[in-house]
Amino acid sequence: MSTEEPKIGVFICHCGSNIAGVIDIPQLVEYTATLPNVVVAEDYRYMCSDPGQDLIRERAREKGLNRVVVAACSPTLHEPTFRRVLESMGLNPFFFDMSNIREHCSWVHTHEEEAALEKAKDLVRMAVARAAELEPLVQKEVDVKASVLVVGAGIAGIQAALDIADAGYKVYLVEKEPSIGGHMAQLDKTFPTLDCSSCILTPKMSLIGQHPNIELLTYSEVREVDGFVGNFKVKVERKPRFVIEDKCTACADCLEVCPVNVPDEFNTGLGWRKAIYIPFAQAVPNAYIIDTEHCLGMTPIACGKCKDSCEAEAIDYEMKPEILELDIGAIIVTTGFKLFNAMEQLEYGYGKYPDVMTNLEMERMLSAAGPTDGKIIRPSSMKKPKDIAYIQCVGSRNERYNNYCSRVCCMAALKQARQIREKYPDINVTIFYIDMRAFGKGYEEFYESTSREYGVTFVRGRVAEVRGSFDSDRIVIRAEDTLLGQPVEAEADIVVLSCGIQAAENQGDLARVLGIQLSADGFFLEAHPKLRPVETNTDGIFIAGAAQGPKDIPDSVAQAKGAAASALTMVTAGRVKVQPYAAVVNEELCAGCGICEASCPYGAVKVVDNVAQVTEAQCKGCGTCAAACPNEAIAPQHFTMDQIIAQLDALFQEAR
Amino acid sequence: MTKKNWEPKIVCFACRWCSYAGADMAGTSRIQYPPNARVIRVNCSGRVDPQFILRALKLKADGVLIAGCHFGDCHYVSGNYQTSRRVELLKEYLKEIGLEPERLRLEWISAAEGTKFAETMKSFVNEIKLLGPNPLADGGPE
Amino acid sequence: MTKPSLAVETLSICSGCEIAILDLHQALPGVLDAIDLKYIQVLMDFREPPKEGVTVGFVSGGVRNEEQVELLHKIRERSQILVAFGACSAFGGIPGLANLHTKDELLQEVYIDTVSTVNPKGVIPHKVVPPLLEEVHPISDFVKVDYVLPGCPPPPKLIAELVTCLLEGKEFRLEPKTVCDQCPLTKDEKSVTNFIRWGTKKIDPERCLLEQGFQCLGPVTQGGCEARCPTALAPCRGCFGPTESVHDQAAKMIGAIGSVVIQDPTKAPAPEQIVKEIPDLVGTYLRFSLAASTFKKALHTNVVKMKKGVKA
Repeated sequence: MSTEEPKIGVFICHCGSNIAGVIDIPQLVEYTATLPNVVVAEDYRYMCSDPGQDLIRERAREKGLNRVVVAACSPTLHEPTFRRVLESMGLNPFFFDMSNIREHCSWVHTHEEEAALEKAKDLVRMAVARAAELEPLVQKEVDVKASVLVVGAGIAGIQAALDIADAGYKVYLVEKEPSIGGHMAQLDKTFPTLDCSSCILTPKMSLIGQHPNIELLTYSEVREVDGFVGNFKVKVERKPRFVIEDKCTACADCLEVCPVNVPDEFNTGLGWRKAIYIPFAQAVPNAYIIDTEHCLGMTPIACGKCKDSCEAEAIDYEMKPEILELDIGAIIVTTGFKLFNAMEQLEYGYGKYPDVMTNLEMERMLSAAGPTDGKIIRPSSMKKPKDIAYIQCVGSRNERYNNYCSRVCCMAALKQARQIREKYPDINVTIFYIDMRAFGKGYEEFYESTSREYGVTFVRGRVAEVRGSFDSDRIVIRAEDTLLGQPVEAEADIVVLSCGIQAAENQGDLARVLGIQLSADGFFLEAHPKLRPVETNTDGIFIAGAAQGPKDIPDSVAQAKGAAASALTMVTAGRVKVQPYAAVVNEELCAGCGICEASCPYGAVKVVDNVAQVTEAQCKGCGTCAAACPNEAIAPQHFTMDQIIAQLDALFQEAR
Repeated sequence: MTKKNWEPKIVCFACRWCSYAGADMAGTSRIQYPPNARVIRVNCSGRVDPQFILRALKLKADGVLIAGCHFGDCHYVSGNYQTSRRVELLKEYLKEIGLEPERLRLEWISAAEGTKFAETMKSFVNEIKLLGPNPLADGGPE
Repeated sequence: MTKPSLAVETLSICSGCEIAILDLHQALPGVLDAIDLKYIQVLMDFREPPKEGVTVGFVSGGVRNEEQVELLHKIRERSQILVAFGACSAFGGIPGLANLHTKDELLQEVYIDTVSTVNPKGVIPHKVVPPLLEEVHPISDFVKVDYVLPGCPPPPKLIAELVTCLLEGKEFRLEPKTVCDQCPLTKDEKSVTNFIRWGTKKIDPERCLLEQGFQCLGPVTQGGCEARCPTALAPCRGCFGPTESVHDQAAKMIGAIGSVVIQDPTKAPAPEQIVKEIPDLVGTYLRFSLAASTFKKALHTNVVKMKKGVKA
């Protein structure tokens, strides 16, 4: 407890015109100077800049400041910056408070200058009052476990895992599907270079399978995450695949005998697989799995043929789910996306007309390893089509579904159109679009050549309706050509819906398990949209790939490498600072009633010998115990009752 | 301040992970809302001691808004459930003591819901304007 | 050396606190030997404390009318040390619950509306009797209080302790912990699924009453009473008032109730349900301390007021 008289310096930021354009800064400074304990009140154009920081240091030296308040932007943005300034001049970094006069004031009361000034005065007065009550805190350092958990093994997860493993750290790569590879494994070729997806992905997949630093946990899901940055305790459930991975030789003998045929998910239901199956030829791990939903029953009575046929004795009907407990230093979440369900957009007739298909289905059809061996046929007649039409922005840029642009569908459609025209110059391809978005490196050039050299037709206009023709087996597309300003009607043999990217199923559940947030569109929320794009608000948890928002392969890989670098920074440093907000018990007041114990979501408080005790490592400083405690005997540091009451009282000081 | 141009003064306790960030989001999106509230940042809505709320009302706050994460999204797992019970009981307390329970409001506002934060402010300010000033202010009891 | 003198002033009270002094039993003669008891209306026929003053003044009862304000100031002036003696004096006590109604409502109820009252002309006495104040006050609203001995009534053991301290010139202070500190019942796990009223369910004689769903105010009440009520399996009603670190017993009880409910959201009762299970919340949580709580009284701003039942 500091007994020193508070000497507070208040520094008010213009943030260029962001604050100064609305709030009368000279008046605010003048007012601030009159507040109790304020020794310095000064303004500067950009407090966060080097000269701004120097100003704080200088004044602190001159006037012997022992507390600092900066009135500027949100503390989420620059609290750490200014705490470092305090630290650099030998002051305890927790003798600092921030008054948010930008996000909470000038930006939201832009046209009410007077009221904004009044509010800014209140906010500064409250911060000054709180500053006087602040106490010095010691930021503890904890060890960081030298292991990283990567959740989701699509291209982003694979890349992140490889980077970390190559740096010499242990990686646990968890994938909920039986094989790694994600959506990229389903793609035939990739834009704009048209290199084959498998050719660039499968080598990385096999590296994963062989890497000594990577423990691959497929067909597994993260169930529980406990602990804190550097020291997560993670529970992963390994679902039984009923085939022992190490023993299975992928010889396919079991396929011969399995009597059940199931639509093949990997081929978007266009082909068939057995109830015992391998998702695709290059799957990692290269082992079969039994789909219990369709298997006739894993007993000799029901069937049991696969087990009989397996020479390697890899099949184990008795396999049980297994919970693994892992000690983890940092977590990277790369759980990817879900394709928009075309059935939802009724007017496009998906599910009603067999020749209306999704972009992913077309992708499988284009693949030489796909269900049609790369031939394009109309599902209704198995015949070659003459005209193919693409409809863009299905489920995207649409108030009814998703407002955002899915970013990849334009390029994917161009790529497929070009592949079709290369293979079958006699098939006409028309793309109905709102705008074509070709923003990446080499993308615009690809768009140009697709339309010029490959003769793809473009019609600008959102398609209103897709229906079967009345007098043939073809499909009619009705739209408005907004360039000509008139309705158009076109016929096609196949209609491809460019379905957008959506947040994965259960993304919210995973966010809850991890304690991270979702943005309004359902993807994971980054700590800052520009400057902290791979961090979450939970220290030690990073995000990458389409789980953070729609992304193409280059961007996913880049972000994955960024997340890997961020996780590595933490793991290599070996130590990390934790916020010293843990609750503290006043033993003189505690009667051991145990209500705090009941309130704690983390089991961090226990009553021992009639007095509550806090396990600091488990406490996250939420302060729920303080609101629950009937005698103010427990409180989180930095959010004490005195500090909050000081703010309240200061706010109403003028009214009283 | 005369009755005529009276503007409600509102205290908002916002949890740092969701609602404070939601208010920041309203800022970065430049969504305009009435300037009546002052936000006090807490780690979790569960930190809001019922005594803070009563003190604010006693200090003649015209309204108190508690904003936290949606159920299931609480950064601290269950803090917001505890808050929801406390707020409901406090409203009953206010009702029995003869203070309009509408002066206390609980809202769940996520970090992404800048619009909701602004809308909440608008509707709360309007509601408080209909109720009039805190009865403890100007010539009221005390 | 002259013996220290004591005066006991009785304000708005049931006189139970004075009787509690008699409960000192065998210790009483010793106390009377050591102290010169100058004034106590239940025993002596004096109208006011001695003019020459006393060493210690006890005030029992809260302040309800104008005469009591005068009496209070008088004993304050004439005592070197003033003790708020008992819950009413310290926090307004049970009579403080009248603060939920206006003075006019109370007079109307007592002199006119009560079924047993015969008052055909509807006269509300206003001559000779001292006028009522608008509300009940703890004595600290008017005068400086040196020591507080809460309780309804204060336990004899603490009275003896207080008197001993005063005689020896020592500070008297209750340990700033709540009733739970001395409660012998076992605290196990707080995961209440519903709250119940006392007498509606068989009590587990070993276990914390709050954990069993009873509204025991032990956690929010100043300790020192040796947890007399919970020990007898009656929930604490809060007669020792809030501790020094707390401003409002009800606020803290609400804070606690929010957390003792089972944490699993699928099993926890809805907040609205919990409110229903706690009828008369203010009367329960501020039974003894309403007049010293945040608002001290009802604000009467609600159009719909809690009116008592239908009149014949």
